[in-house]
Amino acid sequence: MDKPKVAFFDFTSCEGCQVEITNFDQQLLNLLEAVDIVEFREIMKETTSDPLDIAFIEGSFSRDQDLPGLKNIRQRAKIVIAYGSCAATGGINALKNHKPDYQYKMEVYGADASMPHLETHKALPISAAVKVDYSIPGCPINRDEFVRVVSDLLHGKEPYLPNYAVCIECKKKENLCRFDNREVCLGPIARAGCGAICPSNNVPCEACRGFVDTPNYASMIEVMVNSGLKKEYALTKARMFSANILDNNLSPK
Amino acid sequence: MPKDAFVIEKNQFSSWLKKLQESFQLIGPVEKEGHFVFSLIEEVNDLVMDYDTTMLGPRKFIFLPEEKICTIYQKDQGFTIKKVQDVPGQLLIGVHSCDLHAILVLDKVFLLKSFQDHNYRLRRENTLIMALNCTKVCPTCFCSSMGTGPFVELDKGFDFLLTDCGESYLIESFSEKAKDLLLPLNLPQADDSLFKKKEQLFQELKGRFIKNLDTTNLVQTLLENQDHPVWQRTAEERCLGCTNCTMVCPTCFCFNVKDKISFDLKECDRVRYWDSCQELHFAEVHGANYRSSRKARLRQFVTHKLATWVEQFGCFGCIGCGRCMYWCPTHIDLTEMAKEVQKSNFKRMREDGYA
Repeated sequence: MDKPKVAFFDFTSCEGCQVEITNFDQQLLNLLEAVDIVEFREIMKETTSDPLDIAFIEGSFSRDQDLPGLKNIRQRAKIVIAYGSCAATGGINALKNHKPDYQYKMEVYGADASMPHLETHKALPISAAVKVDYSIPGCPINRDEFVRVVSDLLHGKEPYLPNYAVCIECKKKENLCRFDNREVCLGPIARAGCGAICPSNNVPCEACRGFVDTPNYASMIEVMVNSGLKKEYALTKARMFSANILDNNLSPK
Repeated sequence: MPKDAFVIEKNQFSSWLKKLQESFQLIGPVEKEGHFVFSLIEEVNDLVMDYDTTMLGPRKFIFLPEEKICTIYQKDQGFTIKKVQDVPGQLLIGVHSCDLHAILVLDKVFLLKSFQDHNYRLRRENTLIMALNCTKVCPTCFCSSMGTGPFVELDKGFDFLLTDCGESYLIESFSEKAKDLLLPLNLPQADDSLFKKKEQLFQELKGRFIKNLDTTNLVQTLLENQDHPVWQRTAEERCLGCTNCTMVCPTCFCFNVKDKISFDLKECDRVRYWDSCQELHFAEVHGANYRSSRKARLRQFVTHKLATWVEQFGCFGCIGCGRCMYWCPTHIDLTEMAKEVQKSNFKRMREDGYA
C-alpha cells in the first residue's frame, strides 16, 4: 500500500512551525517512514498538484489573493490541518486587526507601504477561508503534539487536543507560580499542550495556544489588574496571540 | 505494636540517611525557587527539614502525575500486555501529619478490598514513610480543625516519626521494617522528659492556628445547600477553572488514561495522568456534560472534599493543608465558602419562612 501523501503549505506567517518540524530529528525520520512528504518548501524544491491525503497549512488568511490557493488545497486534500497559532486562530498577526490598515503599514513599511502585495484584510484563521478538519495551535507548534496528531490520524483515531489550562502542566512540574513572582501570567485560562514550556523557563504564559473553552475572562482580567496592570494593558497583553478570540468575546470598555 | 522511641543526634541522622541511600531512593523536602518541593535527594544536605509546606504533597511519588500502566505489544495475530513491575524502594522523609493523612486517604481510594490498583499498591508497598511532626503553622492551613495534625497521633500506616528537639530528633518507629533499620544504630532510648517536651510543643502549637473550620454537621449542611448563592457567586466572580486546587490537593485521585502508540503500531504505552474535576470536559459522558457550569464544578470540589467523601470513604477528603487556597490565583478559600453556607443555611431558612 502506498504511504499517505502529505504536503505543507504556508500563508501569512514566519514559517517557524515548518522550521520546528525540520528540527524534529529522529521523530521526523520516523514520520518519513510512515508518510510520503510531497511538498514542503523549507526542505525540498519539488511541488505537486496531485491529490493529497493530508494538507498542513501554516499561517493566517490575510489576503484575498490567497483564497484561490487555499481553495485549491482544500479540493485536493482529504484532510486539512491548520497548524500553528496563525493558522488556528489568526495568531499574532491578528494584533493588527483593531488598528486602521494604514497605521501599521506606515509604521512597518514606510515608503513601501503602498506595494500591492501588502494589500491585506484582517488576519483570520484558515477556517475563515476554507473548511479546516483539525487545528494544532501553538507558537510554534509542540512537536510531540504534532507527531501525536499525525499518528492518531494515520491510525484512524480522533486526534485529541488538551482543553485544560496551562496551570495543570505547570503545577505538575512544581514551577514557582509566576504570580508569586509578581508577574502576570495567562496560564490559568490558556490552553495547555505545550508542557508549560514558558513558565518552566521563568517566562509568564502568553496563551499562544489560545484559551480553554468557556474561560472566565472577567476574573482573569481582574487578577491581572490586581497584580498591578492597568486594565487596558491587561487586555493588550491578553490579545498578544489571541486577538481574534478576545475581540469576538470581549468588548473592551 | 509497642512503639520504640530513641534519640538521634542530627549529625548522626544525616550520616544514617547517607547509609540508607545505598538501599533506598530518598525523597524529601528541598528548596526550589523560594518555595519547597518533595524531590529525589542526591545530597542529604539538600534536605530542608524545617520547611513549612510544599507545592505538591508527597503523593506524587506514590500516585505519579503521569505514569505508565502497561505496555501492549503486537504479537502474531494478538497482543501481549506487560504491566509495570519494577519500582524502586523509596523512603519519604519529613512527611508532615497532613500529608501522611492524605496518603492514608489515598490508600482507602486505591486499595479497596474489592479492587486494588496495581501501580499504586506496587509503589505503596515499596515506600517507607518517615513522618515529621510539623511545627510550622501556615496562614492557610487548618489541620487542627480536620483532626489531621499538626502532630501525628496515628499508630500505623507509616514507619518512622520524627520530632525536632533542637540538636537531635526524637525518632519513633511504627513498623517492623523501621525497627530493623534503627536496630544497628544502637541509639539511646528516649526518656519521659522528651515526651513531655513533645506534648508541650504540641499543645503550644494547637493554639497558634489562624484558620479553622467547624466540622459539626458540616456534611449535612453542605449537602442541604447545593443551591446556595455562594457557589454561583464565587464561580462567576473568581473561579478561573484553572484546576490549580485539584493539582495541589494531596488527596485528589482522579486520572485519565491515554495510549501512546508507535508509528508502526507494534507497541503502545498505556499511560495515566492526573485529571481534574475543574476541567470543563471532566464530567462529559455520551451526549451530555453533567457539570458544564463552573459553578457545578467548583461546588463539586468543595462538597466532595468536605461532604460526599465521608459517605464514600468514611473520612473527610480535606486534610486541611490549605494548598488549594494558597495556589489559587484568586485565593478562593473553601473554609470561607463552607462558613458562608453554615452562616446562612438556605434550606433551614426556607423551612423557617425566611428565604
